[in-house]
Amino acid sequence: MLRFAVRRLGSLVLVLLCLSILVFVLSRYGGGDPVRSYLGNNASASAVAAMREKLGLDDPMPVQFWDYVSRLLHGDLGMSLSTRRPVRAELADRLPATLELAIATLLFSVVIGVVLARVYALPGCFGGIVRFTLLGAASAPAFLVATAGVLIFFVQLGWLPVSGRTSYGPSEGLSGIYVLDGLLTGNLAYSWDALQHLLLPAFAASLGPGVALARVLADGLSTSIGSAYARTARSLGESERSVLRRHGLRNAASPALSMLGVQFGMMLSSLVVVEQIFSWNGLGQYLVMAIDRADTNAVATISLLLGAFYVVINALVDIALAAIDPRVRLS
Amino acid sequence: MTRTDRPALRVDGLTVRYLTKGGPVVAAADVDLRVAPGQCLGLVGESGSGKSTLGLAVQGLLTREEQVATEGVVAIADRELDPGDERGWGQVRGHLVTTVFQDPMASLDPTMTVGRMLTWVTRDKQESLRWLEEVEIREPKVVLRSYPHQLSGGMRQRVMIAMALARRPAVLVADEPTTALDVSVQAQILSLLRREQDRLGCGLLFVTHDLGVARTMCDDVAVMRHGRIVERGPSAQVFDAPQDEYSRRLVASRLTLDTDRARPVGPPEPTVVASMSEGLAQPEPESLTRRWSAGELTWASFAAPEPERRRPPALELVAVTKSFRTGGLLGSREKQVLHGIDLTVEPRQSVALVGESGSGKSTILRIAAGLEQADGGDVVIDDRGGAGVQVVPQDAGASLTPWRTVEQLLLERLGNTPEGTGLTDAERSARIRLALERVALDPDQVLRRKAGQLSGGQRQRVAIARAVVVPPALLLCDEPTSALDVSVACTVLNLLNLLRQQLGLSILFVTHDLAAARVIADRVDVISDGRIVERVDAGDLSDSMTSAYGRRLLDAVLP
Amino acid sequence: MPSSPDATTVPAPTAAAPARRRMLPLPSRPGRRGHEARPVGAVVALTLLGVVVLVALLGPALSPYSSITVSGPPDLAPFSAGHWLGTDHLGFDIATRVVEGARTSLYAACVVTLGSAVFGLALGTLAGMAGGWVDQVLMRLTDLFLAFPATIVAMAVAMGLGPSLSSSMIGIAVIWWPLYARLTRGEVRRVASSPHVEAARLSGTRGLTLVRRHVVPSVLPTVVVTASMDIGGVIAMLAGLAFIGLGSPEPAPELGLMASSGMQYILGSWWIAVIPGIAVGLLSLLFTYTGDALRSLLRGTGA
Repeated sequence: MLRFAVRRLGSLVLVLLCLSILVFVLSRYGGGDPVRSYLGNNASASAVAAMREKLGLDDPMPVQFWDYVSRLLHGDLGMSLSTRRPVRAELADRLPATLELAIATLLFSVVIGVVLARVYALPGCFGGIVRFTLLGAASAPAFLVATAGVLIFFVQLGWLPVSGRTSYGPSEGLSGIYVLDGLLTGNLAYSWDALQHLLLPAFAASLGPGVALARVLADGLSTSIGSAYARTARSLGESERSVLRRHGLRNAASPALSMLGVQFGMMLSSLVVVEQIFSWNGLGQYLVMAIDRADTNAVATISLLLGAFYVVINALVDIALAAIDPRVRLS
Repeated sequence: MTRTDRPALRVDGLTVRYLTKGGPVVAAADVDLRVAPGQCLGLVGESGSGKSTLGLAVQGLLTREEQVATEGVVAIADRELDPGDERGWGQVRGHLVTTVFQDPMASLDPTMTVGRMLTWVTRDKQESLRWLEEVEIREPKVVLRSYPHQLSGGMRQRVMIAMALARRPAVLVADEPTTALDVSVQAQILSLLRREQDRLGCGLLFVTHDLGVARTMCDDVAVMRHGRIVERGPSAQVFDAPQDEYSRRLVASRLTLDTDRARPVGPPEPTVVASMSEGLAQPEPESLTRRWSAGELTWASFAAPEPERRRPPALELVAVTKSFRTGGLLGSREKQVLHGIDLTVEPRQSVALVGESGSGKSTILRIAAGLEQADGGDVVIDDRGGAGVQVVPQDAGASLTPWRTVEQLLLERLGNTPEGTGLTDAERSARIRLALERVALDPDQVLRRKAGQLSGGQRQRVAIARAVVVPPALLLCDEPTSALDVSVACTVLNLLNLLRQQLGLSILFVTHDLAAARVIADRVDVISDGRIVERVDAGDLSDSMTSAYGRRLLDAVLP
Repeated sequence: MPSSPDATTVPAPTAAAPARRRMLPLPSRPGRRGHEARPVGAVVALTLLGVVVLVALLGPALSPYSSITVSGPPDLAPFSAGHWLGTDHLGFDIATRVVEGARTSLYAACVVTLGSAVFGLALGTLAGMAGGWVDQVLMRLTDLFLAFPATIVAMAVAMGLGPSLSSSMIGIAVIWWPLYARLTRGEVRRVASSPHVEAARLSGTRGLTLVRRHVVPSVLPTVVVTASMDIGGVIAMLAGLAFIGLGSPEPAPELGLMASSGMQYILGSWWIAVIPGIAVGLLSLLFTYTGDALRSLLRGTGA
C-alpha cells in the first residue's frame, strides 16, 4: 500500500513537471506580447527592450524555464499585468473563495450522485423516464443551469441571492471560507447568509458531475448486486439490505470514486463559468478578467494552479482506490 | 430412495418457468425430490437440463427474479416454503440450507478478506480459525487476512465450504463445486465435502454434469433432461444399468480409462455416421450404425494408405525454454514456465500432452502454433506443403470472427495456403463444401451463417473444418472437448479420430483429461511444472504410468 | 507480437485514472434493464438530429436577416412578429444568430471529434497491434495527456494561440484524442488476443488484412458510439470556452459568446442569454441521446 502510494506520488511529480513545461511554453511563446500589453503600444523601443531584459525574455528557453520553476518554487509568481499587483497577492485574496465553492460543489455532486443513483436504478417505465431525463440534464452546460437558477430562484421567486459571496463584508475569520468562518466566530447569521449565496453557484457546477456520478454508481450497484458474490451472500442468509451495504456499495465505490476524480476536472471548468455568472470573486473570475486583458502571466499561473489541483486530487483518488480495492495495489 | 428418515430436503411438484420475450421457457417441470439427512443426492444432466435452476430454487434464490415463475413446494427440515415467495426464507436460507457454488473466484467478494467474510457467518474469529482448520487450510491465520485473489482455486473453494458449513445447515447444495478446479484438487475437495457431510449429517444435493464425480460422491442420483427427472435410483444401479434411453446414452458417452480406443466412442451419432459413410465411399449409414452399436466398427477401416517414403517428424521441440515476465516496472519478476522441453510428433502420429493448469502445456501449444516465441531451444515443423500448423481451440465459438460468415472464414483460410491459391473459384467452393461435409455439417445450411447463428456443436465443427480444409502439417488441439457436454464431446473426439485416419493428420492434443487423451492419442506425455515427467504409450496407460505425478492424474480420473 | 501476458494489458493504476467521462460503454449485461423501447428512441433521436442539422445547414437561406447586422428594434421579446425568438440588446435577430451559431458549433464539434477520433483510432490500433515498446511509448504519452485536467489544458492552449474559434478547437482536440487512443488501444488489445483473431492469424491472414477484417470491425462501433456522444460534449465545451472569452470576438454569432454577453441584460431581457444557452443544451442533448440510442441498438444486436 505504502509502496503504491509512493509510486503514485512519484508519477504525480512527473505530471506536474510536464504541466509546468506546457504552461511555460504557452505563456512565453503563444498569444500576445506581454511586454507590449504591460507597457502599452506607445512605449518606446528602448523601454520595451529594457523590460524584456528585466523579465529575462531574451535568455535561451531552458534558462528561462529554470528561472520560471525556481521562482515558482520560491513562491514568486510574477506580476499580474492586468491588476499591476503580484499574482501571488491576487491568488491569496481569491483562493479561499474558490476553495469554498469547490468544496461545496464536490459535496453537492456526491449528494446528487448518491440520491440520483437510487432513483436511476428504479425499474420499469418510471425509471426509464428518470434515466432519460438525467441523461439530458447531464448534457446541459453549466452556464445554462446557472442562468436558469438565476431566473427561477432570484428573478421569479426571490429566494436566493445571486451576486457575490455575502451580503455583509468579508469575514473576520481566518480561513477565508465564509460559511466556516461564521461558524467559528459564532456568527450564525453570517454563515447562513454565506450558505445562501453558495447554494445556486454550487448547484449549477455540480449538476453535471452529480448526474455522471449517479450513472456510474447505479451501474456499479446493479452489477455488483447481480454478481456471483452477491448471490453467495444471499445464500449465506444476508438480507437484501445487507447485500447492498456490505457488498454492493463496497464494489461500486471504486468506479464511482474514479469517476469523481475525473469529474473534478469538469467541475473546475464549470467553476470558472459559474464564478463569472455569480460575480464570485475567486480564481475563475480572475482568470476570465485576465483572459480579457491578455494578462498572460496570470492566465498561465491560474491554469497551472487549477491543473495542479486536478492532478493532486486524482492522485489522492487513485491512492484511495487502492485502499478500497486490494486488486489495484497488488496488480 | 434408500433411506426412510424424515427428509432434510423435500421438493414437491416444483415447476420453474423463465419468462422470456419468446414466451415462457420451462427450466424445471413438476420435479419431486427427497434428500434424507446424511444422504448425498446427485442431480446429473447436461447444460440446459435445469439442474442448476433447481439448485437455486431449493434455496429460495429465485424469489427476487422478476422473470421467473414457480409452482410447487420446497420443504427444508420440515419447513414448507414457496420457492417463488420470499416470505419465510429469511430464517431458512443461510441457516438451514447453504451452498457451495461453482466458481469460487467470482463467488467471493474481491474487496473483502476471507476473515471478514467468514466471521460474518461464524460471528467469532476463533470459530473462523477453527473452521479454516477443519477444511484443511494449512496457514489459517494468514488465509484469514488474505483476499480471495491471493488464494489458489482449491483454497478458495475450501473457504466457500467453510462458510457454507459453519452454520451447520440441514441441507447443503453443491453446484458444480469442482468444475472450475484442477483434477487433482478435485479429488481432495470431494473427499473433504464427503467427510464434512458425514460429520455434520446434513443432506447434500450435489449438482453436476460430470458423471464420474456423481458416481464417486453420491448415494443416489437423479438424471435430468429438459427440466424433467428421467431416471433416479442408487448411483451404482443408474450408472451400471441405466433404464431410460437418455441416461443410457449419457452413460455410454462417458469416457473412462477402460473405454475402447480402437473404436468410435459413445453411442452411434447420425452426423458422424454420415461423414463416415462419405469417407468410406460406401453410403450405407444403417449398416455403419449397426456395426458401431455392435462394436464391430474400428478406426482401422478408415485409414488412408501409408505413404511410401519415411518423412521427418511433423513437430520437433528440442530443449525448448520459455519464461514470462510478470509485474510492473519496479517489481518485475521472471517466471520460467518451460524447462527444456523435448517433444516429437512423428508424421501421422497423435500425441497427447496432459497436465494441469499452469503446467506449461498451453505454452507449448502456443509455441508450436507460432503464437509465442521460445526463449531457447529449437522448434522444427515439417511444413513442406506450406499449409502450416492449425489449431482446434477450446472455445470454438470465440474462435470464429463474429461478423464473418462460415464461407468467408473458410475461403480466407483456403486462400492463404499455397494449395488454395492455385484453385479456381469453383474448385475452392467445392473444397470448402467437402470440408464441411467431412465434419458432418450441411454446407447449404451453414455456409452463409455467422458464428452467432450456429449451435455450440456446429461452431466446434466449423472450427475443425477450417483447420482441415487444407490438411495442415500439424493439427494442434487445445482442450477441444473440455467445455462441451459429454455427448457433444464424444462427437468431436470421433470426428477428430475420423479425420486423423482419413487425412493422415499428425496431432498434438493438449488436455487435462487422461481419459480423453487416451482415446485420441498414440502416446501420452505428462507435463508438470514445465517439465515432461513421463512419456507412455496410450494403449496401456494405467499399467505403464510410473511417475508419482502421472499416478495422481490417473487416480483423479474417476471410474 | 506480445512476448508475455504482460502487465500492460492490465490498465496500470497510474496517473491516468480510468477513461474520462462517458467514454467507455458500460459492460453489456443483457436483461438487467429493459431496452425494448430503445429502437423507437433511436429513431426519434436520429430524426430530430437530422432536422436540426438540416436547419443549421440551410440556416442563412431560411432567414430574411443577417446574423451580424441590426434587423429590428432592440430587446424584442420572443414570439414578436417577424422575430420568432426576439432580438438582442443591439437589435440583432436572435433566431438568425442562434441558427448561425448552431451551424458553427456543429461544424466545429464535428471537425474536432472526427479529427480526434480518427487520430486516436489510428494511434490506438497501432499501439494495440504492435505491442511491445511501441505500445509502451504511445500509451505513456496518452497517459500523460489524460493526466492533465482537460478543460484547463484546452483553456491554456486556446489562450496560448490567442482567443479564436480555431484555437479553442485545437485546444479541445489536443485533450480529446488521447481518450480515443486509449479506448481503441484497450479494445484492440482485447480483440487482438481474442481467440478469433488468433485463429485468423493461424489461418494465415496477416498484417493490414488481419486488422481490417478481424479487428477494426469490433472496435469501430464503440468508437462511433463514443464519438456521437462526444460531439455533444465538445459542443458544450466549445460554448464554455466561448463563454469565458476564448472563442471568436464580438459580434460573432457563437452560442457561448451570445450567452455570455447576454448575461448583463439577464434581469430585463432574459431571453438574450437563455435562448443560446438552451440551443447549446439541446444540441448536446440530441447527440447524447443519439449516442445512447445507438449504443443500446448495437448492444441489442450483440455487436
